[in-house]
Amino acid sequence: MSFAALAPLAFALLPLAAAPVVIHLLTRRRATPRAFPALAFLARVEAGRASRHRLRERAVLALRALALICAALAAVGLAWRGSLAGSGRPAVIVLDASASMQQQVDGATVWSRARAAAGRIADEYAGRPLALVVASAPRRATGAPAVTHGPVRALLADAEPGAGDGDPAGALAAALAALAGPGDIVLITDLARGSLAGIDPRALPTGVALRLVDAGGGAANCAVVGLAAEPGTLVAGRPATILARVANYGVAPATLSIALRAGSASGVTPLTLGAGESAVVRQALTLDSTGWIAIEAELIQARADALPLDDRRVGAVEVVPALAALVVSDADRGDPAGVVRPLVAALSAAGLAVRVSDGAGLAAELAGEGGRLRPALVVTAALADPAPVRAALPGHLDGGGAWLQVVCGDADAALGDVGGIVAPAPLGAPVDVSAQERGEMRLGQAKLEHALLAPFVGRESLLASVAAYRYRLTPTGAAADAATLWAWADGTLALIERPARAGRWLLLNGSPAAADSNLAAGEVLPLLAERLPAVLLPARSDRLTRDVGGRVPAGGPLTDATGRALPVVDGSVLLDRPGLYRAAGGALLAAAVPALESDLRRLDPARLDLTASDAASTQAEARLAPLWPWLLVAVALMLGLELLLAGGLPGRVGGRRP
Amino acid sequence: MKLVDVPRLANAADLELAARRIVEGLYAGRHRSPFTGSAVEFSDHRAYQPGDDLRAVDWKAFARSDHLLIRRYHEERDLPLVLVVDSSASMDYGDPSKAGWASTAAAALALLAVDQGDRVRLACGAATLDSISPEVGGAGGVSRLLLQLAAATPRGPSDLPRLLDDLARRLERRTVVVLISDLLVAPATLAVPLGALAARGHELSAIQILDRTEIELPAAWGLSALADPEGATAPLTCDAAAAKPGYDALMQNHLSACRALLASCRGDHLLASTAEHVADALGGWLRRRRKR
Repeated sequence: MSFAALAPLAFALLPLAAAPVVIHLLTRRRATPRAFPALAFLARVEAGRASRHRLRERAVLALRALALICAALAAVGLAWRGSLAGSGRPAVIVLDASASMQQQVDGATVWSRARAAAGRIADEYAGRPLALVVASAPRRATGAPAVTHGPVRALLADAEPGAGDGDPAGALAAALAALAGPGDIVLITDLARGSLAGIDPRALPTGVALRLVDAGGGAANCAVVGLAAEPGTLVAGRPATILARVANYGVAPATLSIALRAGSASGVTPLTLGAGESAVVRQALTLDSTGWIAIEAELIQARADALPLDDRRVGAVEVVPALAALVVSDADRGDPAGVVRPLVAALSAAGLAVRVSDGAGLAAELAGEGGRLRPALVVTAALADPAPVRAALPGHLDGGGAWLQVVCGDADAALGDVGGIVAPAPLGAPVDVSAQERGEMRLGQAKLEHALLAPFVGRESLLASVAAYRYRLTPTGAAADAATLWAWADGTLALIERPARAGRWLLLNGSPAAADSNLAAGEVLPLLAERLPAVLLPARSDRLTRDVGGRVPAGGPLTDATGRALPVVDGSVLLDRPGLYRAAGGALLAAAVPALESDLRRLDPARLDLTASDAASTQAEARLAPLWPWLLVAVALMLGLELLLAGGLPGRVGGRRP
Repeated sequence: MKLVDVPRLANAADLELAARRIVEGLYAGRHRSPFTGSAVEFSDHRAYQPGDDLRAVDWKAFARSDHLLIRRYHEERDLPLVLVVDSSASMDYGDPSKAGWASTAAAALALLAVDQGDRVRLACGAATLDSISPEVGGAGGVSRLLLQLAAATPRGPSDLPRLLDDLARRLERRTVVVLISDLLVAPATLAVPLGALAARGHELSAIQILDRTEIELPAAWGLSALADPEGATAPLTCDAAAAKPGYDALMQNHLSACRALLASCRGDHLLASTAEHVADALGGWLRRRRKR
């Protein structure tokens, strides 16, 4: 048991405790010496009274001194750090089994140290209810704390670290559930960056103490922490860029080589990273096959680092024979003044394989059924009935697809909520931009920095008619993150671009009825379509690789490289190891070590609201319990008692008689 | 405003002067000694007259002479007065001091007795009887007594029981004993010696002289470091206001016990404060004695 002071400077107040005694000595009444023959009678009277008086006087002085000491200690912010081992309360050991626990330090894994520390702590809690939660994927636990430690020992012997982050917050929640009341939680961890993710010790329930046991760690580590491909939808026969982010979490520069592979194509890039640095390595590879392929980044190092598990990162991506676009419209396809023809022309010119649909069988189209190419981009324009599109679009966006919404009428505008934005204002008469506040016009120029608008830069004839137009399409609420917002000066076109679900959404507000429509004139759309594949279908690194320990929705079991089938639980499958998984439909799924697990640099225990101790030590420490409120209560009680006692004295101790 | 009749200087002349004034005040219209004993002796017979007490009829003389004769007696007037003055250190307390008050009272009583033809002895002492004078009478004898009184300086611890024992041994015949003391002793310790004196036929009286601060402890003293002049009790520091109720009650009990003790010895008891005029205190006391 020990104490901590939150404001140690207040210890300077402690000498005040001597003040009552000093004041008493300085101001106490002097007895007048007198001769008194009848002293024997007085002595009989005073025999008991004087001793009681002396006792009471000293008690009052002691109370005052104690009250001042307590007040000073309260000002110090005294807190109690109690020993848990002797408390006899139930305890749950939470053993960090995340990927970082596999790091090698001085020839041994941190996991082995942590397991040994858990054994020692189980010894320390002998005779007391104890449980064990292994923070791995899947999580393992012994249940409620029991005095018999057999289950804890058995689980401890059987447990192994995983490749995920161990879900420390979930493990802590499981420990709290096991305790079901007051008790101690002993978290054994390597204090790596992700080891306490989601844990807020201050949010623990009353009566639960969290003890942190440091199992060591902090080794140097280099890792592949990210993998991506550009564009998001890879097209066979076209060059694709594979990107890998490599990080050096060591304290010295590292010279590395990165091998990037996509299908049968590969390349090696040398790299030197300073301590604590990271860099993105790019490799342009031409994919020669279609279908699901694995892409891979592998770290080739001169010497092994602390955690080999994260030196290789695998992703899965589908290569399509061509980038397909589906134009859904009820407008006349042959009308040269209509919206469909310029759209098809512009998209085709941008290299997209364009199909046109009236909405019938849209779901099958979007799913690529019948051997048709699954469209990466859906364009809706001049719809008469938005219902079929409304039903099918969310699935398309959830799959990472892009959607170009060309608003030509109210039915088109009514689909705005699918993308998560309010419908634009109804189309009407052209707006006199000159009537708008000039201060808001600057936005138009600013938005030219957006990649989608890059082709407009330098085209002065077009830019002359560009003006910001916040009046009609002011994004608010959920649409506040819209990336682009501008309109032509005649008020016929507005543009907005933003993420929608897992995909991208581009809204083009045009008026084909207007004779001077830039859309109809075919000047704007080709420029926009040129950048559509790069902007609307961006790199989808989050789609290439998922974190080990995460769950993915699945209609059926996944099979790993060894043929092991992962069961479906509640409609999802837990990815428990890094590598490739194949779904029933042939699609591939990749899982990798969470990037945060590669950062083995340690959290500073001194900056936590916890006290960490070395795993080799069984010194038990708990979180601080503030004592100052109790001290203030004690001060109040002591002053009350002092009033009672001093009231019976012939004069206030240390004071003068009234 | 009361004139203090106790001389500040304890010399015989001042003492006599003060005592004489007191006695003159006490004398007016009185011709019978207040110290006359109750013992009587036969004088003569006279003829019975109707209304005489039949118990006074001398029946033996009636048998011899066949006349109803009444026996006549005269009082035994030569019962000497013994003044016992406590000269312990505790008597040297108060303003005027108890010792001065006691000396003045003793001198006045001696003068009063001698002036009325009685003989007087003076005994002084604290733990023991330091001095006891022979029976004296007349002006010369009184002067010697006053010298003895002036020489009795209060000092030393008190031992009244022993002093009274000594006195009892030194008195050869019946006397009227007047003890002038503060009686700051346990009354029970005086029961035996006083009882012995009473048993020998001595008439006992006690004038208990105390300072008013002894009778009622002054609360205004506050915190005081008190010392016993006789050294019998260890010094004590106390708050007078707090101790007053207990002390006053204890002192009243003590005075009551003293009165009861004297009554049990067929003696009388006078409590006097040094703040009281000696003449007033003695006058009242003597009047009460004459009425007995």
